[in-house]
Amino acid sequence: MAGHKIKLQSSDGDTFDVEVEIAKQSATIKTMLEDLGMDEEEDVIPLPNVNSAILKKVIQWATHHKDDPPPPEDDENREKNTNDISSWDQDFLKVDQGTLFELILAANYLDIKGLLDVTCKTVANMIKGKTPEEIRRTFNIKNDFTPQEEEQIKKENEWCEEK
Amino acid sequence: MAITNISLLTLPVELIHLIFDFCDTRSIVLSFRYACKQCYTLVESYDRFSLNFDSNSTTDYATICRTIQPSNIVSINISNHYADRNESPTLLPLFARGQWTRLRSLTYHNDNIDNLEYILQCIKSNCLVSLSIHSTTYQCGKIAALISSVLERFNLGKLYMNSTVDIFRYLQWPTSCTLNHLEIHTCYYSDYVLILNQLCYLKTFVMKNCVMNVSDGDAYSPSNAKLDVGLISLTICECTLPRDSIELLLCETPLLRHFKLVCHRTTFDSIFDGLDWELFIRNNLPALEKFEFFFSYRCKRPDPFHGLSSGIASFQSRFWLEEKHWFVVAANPIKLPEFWLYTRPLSNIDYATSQARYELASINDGYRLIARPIDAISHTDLNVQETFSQPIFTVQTLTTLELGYSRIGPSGAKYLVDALRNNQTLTTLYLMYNDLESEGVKYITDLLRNNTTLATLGLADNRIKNLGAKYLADALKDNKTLMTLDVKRNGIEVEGVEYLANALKYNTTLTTLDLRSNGIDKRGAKYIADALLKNMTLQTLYLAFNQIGDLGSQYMANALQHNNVTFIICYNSSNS
Repeated sequence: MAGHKIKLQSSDGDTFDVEVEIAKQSATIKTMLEDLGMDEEEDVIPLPNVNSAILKKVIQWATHHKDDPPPPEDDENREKNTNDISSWDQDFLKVDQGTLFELILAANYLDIKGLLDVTCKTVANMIKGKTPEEIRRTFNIKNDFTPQEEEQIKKENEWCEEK
Repeated sequence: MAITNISLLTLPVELIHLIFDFCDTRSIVLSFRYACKQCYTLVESYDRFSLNFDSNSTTDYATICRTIQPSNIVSINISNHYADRNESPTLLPLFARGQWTRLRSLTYHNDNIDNLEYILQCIKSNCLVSLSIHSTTYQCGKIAALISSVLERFNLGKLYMNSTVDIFRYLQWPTSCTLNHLEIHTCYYSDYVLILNQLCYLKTFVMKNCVMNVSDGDAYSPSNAKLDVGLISLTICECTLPRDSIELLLCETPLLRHFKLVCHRTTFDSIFDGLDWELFIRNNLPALEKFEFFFSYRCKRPDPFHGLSSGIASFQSRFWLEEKHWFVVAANPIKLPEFWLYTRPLSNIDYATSQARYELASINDGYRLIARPIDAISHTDLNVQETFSQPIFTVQTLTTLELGYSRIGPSGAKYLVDALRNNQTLTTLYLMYNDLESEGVKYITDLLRNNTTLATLGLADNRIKNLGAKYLADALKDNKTLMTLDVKRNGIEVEGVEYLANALKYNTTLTTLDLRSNGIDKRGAKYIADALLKNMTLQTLYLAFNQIGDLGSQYMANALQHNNVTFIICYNSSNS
């Protein structure tokens, strides 16, 4: 069992040899393997939604986290704390925003809960405690409210503050 | 790497809402919502808000509460401080608005049970699954009546209450109670048995302590109906029961898969005996997969020391190490007259576990001095001089020193090196996050010159800069034992890398070098590449999170062609 490998194929056609136990952190791949009953080393799992650069990162993450305990199943107890990102993950996620968002998409598509949580936490940390203007600058968002609408929003807040 | 044009707002709505799950409500409602029209829409459609009433900023809450529909709130946490102000202008009116159709979790820190009763009455639909009541009031009857009615009205799955044992005198469990997670303060043994047999869906039971309230003669035999008990996880956080009583509790739970026990003792009783546990678990808890414990023994006289190797011996049997894979550590905290015995890993222990301590693990990997908390990584202040002068400390047998995050500083490093001067057993020294700076590194390199056993040296995050790198480089030229050196995140930069690269030309033992995140540019890469033409021992080199660039990568690629050794170079090069 240990060391047994499968091949993953990215959207740009590159294949990656990955240990089954590492690949199975992806619930999507795990289901595929179980449904197909795959055990031939020649079989290739196509992942048309993930490009090579991102797949490489995902494999790197899954390799580092292969011995992690499985995340708790019930959402009720899910950890909302965003200060618990390990220093390895912090280093790993020091990437440009495009890569970060692609990792979120890949983690969602491959259904890797740990990676999805840690990437979402990273983005949440970029939002938390910021003003609207700082959020616009951080994510390169254009303010498309008209001056009238801005005025309206301002009023909405002031009205509340008087209450 | 290909430039992608994915931005935050191109992510699918459900993923942005997933990100919201990790944000505070204030940032979502008062900032993100106003960034642009699309942001506004994204927040309007979000329906999993958690409200945390914990600060004085009532105006914020007024705006937030006006903005969010109660039907979009799934979780509310009301802190003592907030609910105390009875004139609270937002809290009760907010609940009075009704439409609480999706509130799943309510946490209430207050003694005003009338307010809680009012709040719960406002929740008309059967949506609540989790209720926590943190109250210091003695109105047990009132709380019990409230909980009884809550259990009748909602299909509650999780209940926390910190009330006293008396509450169970008044509490009526409904016949088909759906609770699967129960956390309480203290309960009597008779209530424990009753709860286990009445709550047929209960899976997890957490209590601070249990009190035996049955006299010796009567009900001390295990109950008959225990086959119906489906409990799979039991935690006792501050257990004062003697061992045979603990076994009585466990006889009620034949299907238990997880057991966590924390005990602080003043006698060295059989709770510290691995063989006793082994026999009991074999006979009574066949399904137990995870056994976590933390036992401390406070010695009455200041001195008596329980030897670590004799303390750990009964946990080194086949049962512990090979069948169950439960690994146990015996430890002497350096400043306390205590003996500790605990499993590793171990989660959430409410005790002074960040004490610097001398450890021996059941998987015999030598004595170690360790200064980080048992259950998490956090910062501690370690006085190295004081630590090493403690009588308990025998530096001669030490194999591992794990003193990360201890604010040792340059002067602490000096004491450390003095204490270790005659040691010939140490193989591993971890000193990450210690503000050592270049001066501290200078002392450490003294150790590298004299010591002939040290194989692993971790110096990450110590701001050693280029000067520190120079000291290390000088020592590396002659050192014949060090195999792994970790100097990531140290601001070494190109000048420091030049020193290290030169040393690599002479060093013949180092196999792993971690230079991640050191501000190394393409010139630095060139120095390393040149050194690799001479060095044939290095196997693993980490260079990620530097500014090596395409040219630097080319230097490295060329060097690899002339080198027979297997290299693993991690490029995550961010050129931004």
